[in-house]
This record gives sequence, structure tokens and C-alpha cells, in this order.
Amino acid sequence: MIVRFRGVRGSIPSPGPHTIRYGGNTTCIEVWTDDGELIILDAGTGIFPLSQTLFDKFPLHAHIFNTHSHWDHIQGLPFFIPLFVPNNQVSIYGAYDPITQNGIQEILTEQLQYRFFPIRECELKSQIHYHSLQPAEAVQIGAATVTAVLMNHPVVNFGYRIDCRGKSLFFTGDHEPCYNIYEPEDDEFSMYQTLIDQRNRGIIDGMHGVDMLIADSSYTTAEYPSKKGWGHGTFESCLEMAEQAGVQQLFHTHHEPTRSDDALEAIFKDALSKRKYDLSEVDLASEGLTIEW
Amino acid sequence: MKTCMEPQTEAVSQENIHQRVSAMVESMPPFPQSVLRLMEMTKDFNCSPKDLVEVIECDPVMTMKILKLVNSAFFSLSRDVVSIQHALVYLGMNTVKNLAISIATIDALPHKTISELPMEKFLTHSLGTAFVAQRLAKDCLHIKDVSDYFIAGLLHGFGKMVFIQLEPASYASVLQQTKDKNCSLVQMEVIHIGISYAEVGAMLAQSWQLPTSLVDCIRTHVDCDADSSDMAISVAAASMVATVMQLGINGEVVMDEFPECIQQRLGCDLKMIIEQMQNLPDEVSKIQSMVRG
Repeated sequence: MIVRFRGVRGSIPSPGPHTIRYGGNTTCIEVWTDDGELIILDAGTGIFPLSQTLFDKFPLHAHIFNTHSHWDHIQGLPFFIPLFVPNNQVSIYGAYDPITQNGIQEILTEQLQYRFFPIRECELKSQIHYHSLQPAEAVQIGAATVTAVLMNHPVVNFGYRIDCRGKSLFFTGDHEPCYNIYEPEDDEFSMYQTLIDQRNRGIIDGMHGVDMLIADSSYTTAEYPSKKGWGHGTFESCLEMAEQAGVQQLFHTHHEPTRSDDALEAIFKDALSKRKYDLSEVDLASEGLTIEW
Repeated sequence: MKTCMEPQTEAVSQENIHQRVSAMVESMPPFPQSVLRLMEMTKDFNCSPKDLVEVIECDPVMTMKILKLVNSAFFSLSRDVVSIQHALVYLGMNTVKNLAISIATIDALPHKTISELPMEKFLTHSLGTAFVAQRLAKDCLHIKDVSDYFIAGLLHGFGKMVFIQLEPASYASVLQQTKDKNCSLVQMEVIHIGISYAEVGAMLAQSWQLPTSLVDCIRTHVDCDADSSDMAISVAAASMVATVMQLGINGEVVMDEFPECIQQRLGCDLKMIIEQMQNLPDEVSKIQSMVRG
């Protein structure tokens, strides 16, 4: 399996001299399975540089798994060049939206309205297949199985687990561990805590034992209180999740757009020095970083 | 109480009623006070999840619609979601908030009301029943998680709201005759409309794919026996308590005592419960002011 980070930034692209080492593109992860299938996790702006490396593989069939529909995870989709070339196939997977009651196809259809983009969806030359997924639904792509796990974010967000020939990874998308909305003295506190424990256990089960966990670590523990409820994790919460799920390797991603490379390394070093969990392989995701195993 | 033996004059076939009830489902409006309160609260992105839960769960329409959606095939969750807190744990604060707003916005249409059973009074009775059902489950039946008992109490008379929207004139006459003849409301409904509010409420709950325990409770609380569920017993008793204490209006005649099966299951009689519930009007008005803001 080959994993290459194409975009590791959260919220908005952040190019500039202070983000050169880790990169400024928003979320996109390129995955090649052992039997040669291309799986793309999210279509942030990182999907554009990825698409420019694919010309010699045309005609190809790309499988794009969207964790959720916030801008930083879909911004690059209209610029995914294989969409415009005949004989290519692009399968797009993601959640059904309970508010608009629309499936995953709504994302591209909305993005390609004439006011926002010069080419309409019906003018795309590739064959596009849309698949709206349900929680826990598994999709077979060649030898790989991709399973959707419902996470916690201000919009429906799926984490994806990829299993292929004994190798595995899990990407959280954007995720904040569920927390109790009641105070310990409230009557509802213990009832709500039971629900949360069940829910968090379900999430941990979904990523249990993977070789690689790629997790949203937007904030430091000190920053978190003012960002509670925004739907993102901390370095600490990701380390805890990795420990509970018994994963082998953890990559922190979704770096804050205002965080410089130096600041990112400093807070990572600090988080590692304070960690309570004994996980040997922990690193920061950076644009272009490739892991093959 | 008298037994009513008048001939059935306006009987409507089950199938016809089912079709008309189903057609009504989507157009049922939520209670305006809760809609207003919700709109006001949600102007603030950081509004308290605890307050949001409290406002939503005091609105039977909003509650039913959210539970309907969360339990629908689109999410196919591994377990039934029986409370708003539970929905919040799965879907997250922002999604539940926006669901409630969309239900409120789409459905905030003027709704019919009749002087025999004004909506405001009906809501008061429903809230009172919800509160007492929860207390009885906790205190008399020693049930730990009682959040679904609150919802069962809130929704037990939901079929009456459907009748008011569907057949306001006929239903006004049924209510008037029940009062004049001091007989059973359910019996009068069956004679004049062809179906009881309990059955209509259960049909609605069933078509909305609400949990079976809730559907059964809505259907059977009007005819409890020794085999009835704890939930049906609690709701039936709670509704009688609210009626005797003249908390709102539910269109039913006042009972002197619990039926034998209820008294045995709860281990106490109506008088004892009423003595313990002297704070009920205060509790209900507290919840109502929460809804009104």
C-alpha cells in the first residue's frame, strides 16, 4: 500500500514562506492499493497537484471518498483533471445530508453551477458514479474494502478505514471526540455519558488495530476550550484515540492555517513531551510525504 | 362513566384514514413558541446544547421528525435512537440544530386549532404527562434511563393533533359529546371517526419508523392490562394524573382511580401519586417558559 499526503492543511489553503515544509494545500490523501487501485481521501486543493501526476495512467478509474462536505475537503474537486477526459471513470463516495436530504452528487452539481464554474456537470467527459453511503457501509474496490464510520463534526462526517491484503489505514476526516453536554450535577449527566461512551467505543472499534491512523489534530490542549464544539481534535485526543485503538502509527493532520512550520513543530514537540501514551511511531503529516509498506 | 352506544354515522375505512393520516404527516406544524425560541437561540453559533435539547424535546412535532430521520434507512444505525440527546450524540449539535431549524422553517405554517382542545392547553397536558411518566418510571418502576419515557409521554396524544388538522369540525363535535355524555373519548372517536387517536398516533409513529417500544406505547396506553409494557403503564397513569390535576386539557373525562393493572404495577394509587406531584404545575410552567424564552 502506498500513502501520499497531498494536502494536510485545515480550513483554507495557506501557501507562503511559513508553510513551505508542511505545505499549504487543504486535505487530500492519495492511496494506491497493492492491486493498483487509486483511492483518494478527500478533494481539498491537494487533489489538483495529484491529478497532474495521473496523465500517464489514463484511462483510469479513481475512487474519491469524501469525508464531509465542508469547503476544505471539496475545494479541489472541480479541478480534478481526470473528470474532463473521456474514458476515465470517477466514483465519488460520501454521506447523505440530512438537512438538504440530498446525496453525495449534490456537491459537484452545486460546485459546477454556471455562476461559480465555467463548465457544467453535464459537460464533464468522464463517467461519474455517485455512491451515497450509510454508516458502517463497506465498499469493495479490487482487493480493498473501504468502510465508512460515522464520526463527530458539525456536519455528517465519515472516517474511512481501508483494508487490503492484511494492510490497513484509517482516516478520521474532521473529528472531535464526543463530550458530555451536561454538568456532573445534572440528572441527565450519567445517562448522556453512557450514550457517549457507547458512541466513542463504536468509533474506536471502527479503527481498531490499523497499521496507520491519520487523525485531525487541529488544536493544542490549551487552545481547545475556546474551540470546543467546532468539531476538531487535539494532539492529545488523537494520541489517546491511537492508544485505545491499538494502532501502529499515527499521523497528525488538518494543521491550522495560521500555524507556521516552526510553530507546528514546536507544539508537536511539546505534545510529545507531555504524552501519557506509549506509541512509538507518531509524526506530523506533510505535503508530499510518502509511506509504502 | 357511561358507555356510548350510538350508531356509527361517519365511519371512514381504515385504509382511507391511513392514507389521509399519512398525507398529514409531513404538513404537521411544530408549536410556534418553540420555533420562535429555537430561531432566537440558534442565532448564536455557540448556543448551549443543553438548552437546545430542552427546547426541541418540548415540541412533539420537532421531536418526532428528528427521531424519524435519525431512525430512517438513510442512517441505518445499529440501534434505535429514542431521545433527542441520543440523536445529538450520533449526529452532533450542529446537524441536530439545523435539522430543527429546517423543520421549523419549512413547517411554520398556520395550523388549525379548535376551542374544545386548544393547542396551548394540549401542549401543557403533553408536557405534564411527559414529566410524570418519567418520574413514575424512575420512582415506582426503578428504571435507570427514563429519557424515552419523557418522549412517550410527550407523544402519547399526538393522534389528537392529527384529528384537529384533518377533521377539525368532526373532532370538535366528538370532544363536545365526550364531555356532555361523560364517556370514553376513544370510544367516541371510534364511533364517529372510525379510528382512535391512539391508533392514529401509532400509525404515524410507525410510518415514521420510530422505535417499536414507542409505537406500542402510543397504541396501547389507552387500554392497559397486566401484560402492558412499563412504558404504556407509566404514560397511561401520567396522563390520568395530569388530567386530574387539570394541567392543560386533553379532552378526556376525569378518572377517580387508576385501573387495577396500573395500580398493581406502580404499587400505589392515584391519590398517592397526586400527593407526590404537588410541584408538577411549577415544573411544567418552568419547561414552558424555557420553550417560550
